[in-house]
Amino acid sequence: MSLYCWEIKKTLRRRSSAISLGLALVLAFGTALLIGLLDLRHSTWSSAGGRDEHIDVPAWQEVKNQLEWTKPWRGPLTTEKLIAAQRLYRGAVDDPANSDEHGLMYLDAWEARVRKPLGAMLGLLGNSAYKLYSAEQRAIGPERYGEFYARRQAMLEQDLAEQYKDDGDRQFFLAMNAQIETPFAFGWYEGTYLFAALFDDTCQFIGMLLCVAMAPLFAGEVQTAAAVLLAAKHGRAKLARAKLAAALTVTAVVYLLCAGLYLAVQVAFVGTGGWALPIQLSDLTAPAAMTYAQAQIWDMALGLAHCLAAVAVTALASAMTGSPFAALAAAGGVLAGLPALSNWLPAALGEALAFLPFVTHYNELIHTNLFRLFGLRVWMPWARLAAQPLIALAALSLAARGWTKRQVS
Amino acid sequence: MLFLQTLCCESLTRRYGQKTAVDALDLTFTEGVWGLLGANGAGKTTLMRMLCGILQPTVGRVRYGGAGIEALGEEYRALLGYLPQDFGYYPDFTAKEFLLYIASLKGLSKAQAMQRSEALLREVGLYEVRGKRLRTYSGGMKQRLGIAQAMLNDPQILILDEPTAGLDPKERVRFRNLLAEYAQGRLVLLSTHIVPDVESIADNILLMKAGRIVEQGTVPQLVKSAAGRVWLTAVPPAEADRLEAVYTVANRRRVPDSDEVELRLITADPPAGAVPAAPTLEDVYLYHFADTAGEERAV
Repeated sequence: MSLYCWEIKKTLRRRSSAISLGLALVLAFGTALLIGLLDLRHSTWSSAGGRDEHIDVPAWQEVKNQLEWTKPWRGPLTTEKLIAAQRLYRGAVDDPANSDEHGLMYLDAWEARVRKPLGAMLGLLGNSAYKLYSAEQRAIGPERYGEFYARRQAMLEQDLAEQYKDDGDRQFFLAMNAQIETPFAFGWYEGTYLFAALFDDTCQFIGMLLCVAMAPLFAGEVQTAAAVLLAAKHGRAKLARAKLAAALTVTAVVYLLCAGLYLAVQVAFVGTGGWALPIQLSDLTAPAAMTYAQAQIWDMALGLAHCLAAVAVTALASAMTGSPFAALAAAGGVLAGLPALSNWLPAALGEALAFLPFVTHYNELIHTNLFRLFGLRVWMPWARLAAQPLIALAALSLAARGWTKRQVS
Repeated sequence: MLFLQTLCCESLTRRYGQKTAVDALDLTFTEGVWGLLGANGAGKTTLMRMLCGILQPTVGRVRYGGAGIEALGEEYRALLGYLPQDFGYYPDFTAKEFLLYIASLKGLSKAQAMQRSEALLREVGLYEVRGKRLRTYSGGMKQRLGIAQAMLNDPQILILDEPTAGLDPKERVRFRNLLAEYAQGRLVLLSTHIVPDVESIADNILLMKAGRIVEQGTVPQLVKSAAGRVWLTAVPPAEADRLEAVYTVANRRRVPDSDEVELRLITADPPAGAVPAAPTLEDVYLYHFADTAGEERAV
């Protein structure tokens, strides 16, 4: 068996590592399950007319309802559809028969006249009222939705004008935005968006557990067999390379298993229909021409890159310290402590720290942030993704060097 | 592959802050068994670590066949077998897995690794329990496994730091026999503060104290150096107590069928009535380490 295989075996046999890796898998599956069961269920109450009504729809039924109710609105999201939807909404909320004397809607009327006929369109109208019209949804005249796409374009341009003085920067995002197909494709997107956006939190914990699992990589040897290893023929550079390769392999495999479990639960709950829809349905002024599938691929690729970079930083700490706890504390200081201090550091340093693993998340996709490299403009999500292998490479080479030069005193 | 050449220390020094653990040693090791005797803290472990290349000297260097061991790198480590003191193990590995892992580190082929590990497991008496997890092993079993791993690559230079610690008397005898047979054409350096462990097998003895070699030679040479310093005297118990407070006493025993106690004294200035005795290596050790803690006199 090669050193690389032995190191994988050692990692999986180490009790602390095995527990951490097992917990990561349980966490990925468990969180996805909880998101499905708790966040997708529909629960609402109303005290209209002093009735004190309550509705609690389990997740599986709510998904079924939403898919069914959204069916009439599926396909291109034309302004005609938006006008019709808002008209339907206004008709229901403005009908005095549906509300009490204080204007509060009765729950059965809300369900029958608003939620059921609108499906996912209700969420979209709510988002656009706030984002595009800066008004309450019930105050917007249906005809105003005729200018939905024009207002979206104007809002994006306004955001860019506030953020950038350089016309080139604005044009960069406007060119990106021009790639977005209008009218948007529409369908039930909320479940897919929910799972995609909440993966970051899970990923952060998975990363943390992977770091715990890898903290003893080198430091654990100091308390066991470092003297024997370092005196052996291949106990220095070759062993360091084998250990690092094994750590990255285990990290990648465990992460992919976690992501696979998460996706499996996601698909079981919400299906795959939402993946083909554009991310603009949940974030109207997002500049990127991306579907939820592409966004989730980016997010999961970033998660993998974050985990690999974080494990590389932990390996470096492990190669420099004498105990797994010290390694974990040092890695935690870099990965969690430094970003927490970024507000008190000089701006340039704070921005640089934002490239550290687990600082960026899904929301980066809806922002209009730029990274400049020798005059080249790079959209920040790509820059953040590209930074992780560089962080990992730097940490890995220092870790290998640290172990190779290690002394046993 | 290098063949056995001389291993030299040149002005070898290691300091930890203000403390000098090894002090400007100039030594040349050739083939044979070398016993490194010294009390705890004498600098034995530090010297061995520098010889293995896992600890950098503060001053001086270690050369093998004229070349610095650092420059030789893998080539030197391929010749080396090392058992450190306080050697930790992987509790979730079996003995067989552990040896195969170390064999992989030492660059042995799969066939060599299987053959050597099985042979050594038999030699150290662990073959029957080779499939058990190391967490279930006793201290002595772990020590025997440590000896096996050090010999796995059939090293030309075998460095063993306190190899008999934790071994019972029977295991110590077995270890000595194993080592005596193994040492042919090789350099074996073992450190200990248990004199009988080296007395019967070492070709050369180094007595180390406070980072320096205070005495060096074969067992007969060292024993000869203690001539006139070992005395026997039989005195009443009260007098024996008084003498024990003044002299280094190697042994105290009741004289059969008498109320007197016989003392074996290590001194150049014996009390009246004492008769000279033939010195042993242990007497030489005690002569040099009389000022160290009582437990270091253990044999």
